[in-house]
Amino acid sequence: MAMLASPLPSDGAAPARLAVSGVSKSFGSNLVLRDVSFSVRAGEVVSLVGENGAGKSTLMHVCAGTFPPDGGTLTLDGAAYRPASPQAARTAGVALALQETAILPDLTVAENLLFGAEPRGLLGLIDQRRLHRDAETVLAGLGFALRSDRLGADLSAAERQMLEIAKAIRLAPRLLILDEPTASLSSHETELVLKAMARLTAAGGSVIFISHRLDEVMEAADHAVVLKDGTLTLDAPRGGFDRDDLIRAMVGRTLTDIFPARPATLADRPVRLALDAAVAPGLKPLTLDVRAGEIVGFAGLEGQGQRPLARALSGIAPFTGGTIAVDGAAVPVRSVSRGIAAGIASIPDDRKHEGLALDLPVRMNVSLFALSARSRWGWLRQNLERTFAEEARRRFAIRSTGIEQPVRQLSGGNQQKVVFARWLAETPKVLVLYEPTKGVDVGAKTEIYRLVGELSAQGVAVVLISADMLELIGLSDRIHVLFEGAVTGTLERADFSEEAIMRLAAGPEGAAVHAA
Amino acid sequence: MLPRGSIRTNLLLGLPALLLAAAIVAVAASWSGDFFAAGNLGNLVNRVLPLSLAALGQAFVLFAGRIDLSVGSVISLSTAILATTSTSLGWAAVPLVLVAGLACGALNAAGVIYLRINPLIMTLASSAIVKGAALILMPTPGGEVDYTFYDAFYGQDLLVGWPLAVILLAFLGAFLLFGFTRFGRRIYALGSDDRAAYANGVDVRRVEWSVFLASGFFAAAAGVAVGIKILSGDPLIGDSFTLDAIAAAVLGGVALQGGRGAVPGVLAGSIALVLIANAFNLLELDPNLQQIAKGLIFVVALMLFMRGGVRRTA
Repeated sequence: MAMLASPLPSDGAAPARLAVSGVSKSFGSNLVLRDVSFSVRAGEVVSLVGENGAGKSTLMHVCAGTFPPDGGTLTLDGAAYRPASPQAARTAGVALALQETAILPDLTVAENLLFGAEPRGLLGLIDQRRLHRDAETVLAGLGFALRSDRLGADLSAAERQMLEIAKAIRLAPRLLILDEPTASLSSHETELVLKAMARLTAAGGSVIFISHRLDEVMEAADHAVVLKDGTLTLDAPRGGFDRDDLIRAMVGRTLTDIFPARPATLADRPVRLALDAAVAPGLKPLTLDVRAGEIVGFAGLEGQGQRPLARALSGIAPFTGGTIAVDGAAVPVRSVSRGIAAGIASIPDDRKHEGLALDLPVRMNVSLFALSARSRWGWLRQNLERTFAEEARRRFAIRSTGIEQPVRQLSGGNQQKVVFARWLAETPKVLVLYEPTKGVDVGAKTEIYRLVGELSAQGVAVVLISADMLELIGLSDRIHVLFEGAVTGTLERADFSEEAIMRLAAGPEGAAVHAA
Repeated sequence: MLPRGSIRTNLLLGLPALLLAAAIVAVAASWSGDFFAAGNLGNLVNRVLPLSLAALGQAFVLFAGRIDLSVGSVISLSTAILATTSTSLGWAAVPLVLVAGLACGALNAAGVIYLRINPLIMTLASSAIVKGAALILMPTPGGEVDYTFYDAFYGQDLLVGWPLAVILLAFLGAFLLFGFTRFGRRIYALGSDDRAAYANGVDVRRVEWSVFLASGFFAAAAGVAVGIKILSGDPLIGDSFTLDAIAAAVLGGVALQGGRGAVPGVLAGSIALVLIANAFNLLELDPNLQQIAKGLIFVVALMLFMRGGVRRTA
């Protein structure tokens, strides 16, 4: 085994830039990486693909020294590589750009970019003027439009991401690791990042980049590596894989097996949910119909109004203007309880904070809303509660030792099913889903999709707000694309494609670039 | 011409305190002819000295996003130690007091770093411990600080006396440290965002050690100034300094969440607080009203410098 995973590539020319062999890692009883081996050569871009929770980020953190692997070895340019900290990894020439987490909000762009490497002048004091000039040079070299004296706190998600990438590239690392660098970037910014990657590899550097966008992987990767449930399921050079191969390796089956079939037309169904010029902070006036049994998806880059929309529909942060009607009757959703009364069920994205009482058993979590309907003069009826919980556990296929197991001990997917079971004790008229399968494994995903399919077949109008392209495309009947709080375009099922969504998601500027 | 970068933003945060101080001077001077009398000005400097030193120590901790509630007790203990040792040890009593202050800072740092106790709670607890030690050493105000100390420190008739020189030196040094050294920048980084600071290679423990030590040191220095002034020890005299030091820093634009504010603002805040007290005295208002006014100013300053919900949006 060790011989097979030798860092020497088959042509025997030079050792791999980074060779990962037999790496395993678990957190508690949760095995996150299972005997993973792959290698990155000098001057190569390797794309790491996989669903949420597949172990990509863990693998990257092992490579970048955040924590050591439980088993297996790493070599860097042929030498043993066991970084004790991110610092040690950086010194060894491995830089990791995280998803916008390491920006210091009270320092300027320049101070962030050159943190720890500030130019010093008289008396060893930092030369602020030169610091900002140097930073401007670095940013201009990359083509990033970022003013050097803006504060970190004032940057948008995309700008923080660009800064994070610039910080990593400035180190001229031997190996640059980018964790979903383009999740919040427009297509123009994405091109700049891909260009910067190309420049780095042309100079002999190597890049590992994690991406959810398969188009990008097809375009930029010299090599693709796919993880599924902590195991390597595909490792192929450019030309040796296509989009379908990637998807199959990611989810372990073809898409038609995962998503429920959709009816051919819904035009004859009555309108269930109607928004008319509904506005909320961060959301421009939105007019929208969702028919009974229809699943309407909302796509977009991060932070384009998805969260305000979800929170307004659920009543957490209500609409501030316009009207919202269910079955033709206006219902002012001013609070979560008013929303529930109007027949709107919404599954929050942050189940740990907004959804579940983690230390309470499945029984109590599941029956929270059902109870009021089932109590008598304010007294809980324990038998009914137990029966209800048992039933819910079966119907939603919640995998637990029983209804008394604390929710904290369940997997992400099963926790999410508990949330569904709670909200769907009574069949709602409208179901609002916000990132319904974040951090959920494929098996649980499939069950959640099946459930959503069933509900829509019963006439529930579904609003699906998600960053997961496959999910949007597989589940929706119609997709609206959000940009800066407004719908910039709508796609019918026949026209669905990642590329079409991305074009609209980039806003007017992106659409123009692609049309040219 | 302001330097570029975050230091500019942080300097501007001190502007309101400066304007407030100027406004008080204007009002007090127009109402009372005694304000610009040499005696009153010297008195003001002498009162700014201990408060500004305590506030400067507090600023180290606040910039790093921590807090130190033991400042007042450290000042009390310092006067007690000074008043029991100055006659026998002479000037060597001063370094002894400073070492005691560092020890108090070390106690805070150890609790926060190794026992992982929240700084607010740890320093509240150590405040009680240190005050207890001061009371054991000196159950009632008393003792004696050698008069030669007073004469040497406060009694010289110089253009820039020792009190003003100490203030200027301490604040100039701290200004350069925070604005223009990598060490200062690491302190701001930690206060700005713990996790991001760690990810940027900041040695969190080292920074925590240094800010709590600095706070203990400057509180002890403030205690020396107080002890020499009153020529005796008092195990409770420091109590009001804890809130005043935080109020002075906050008034000077220092954010309690950390990462924001600058040293000149802290000095301006200290001056403004002293001036308010002085104005109350000159205008012969009920001294108890001062307490209420200080509390209100603290709240207003907090509101003024509170940052909108942009911080750590997930």
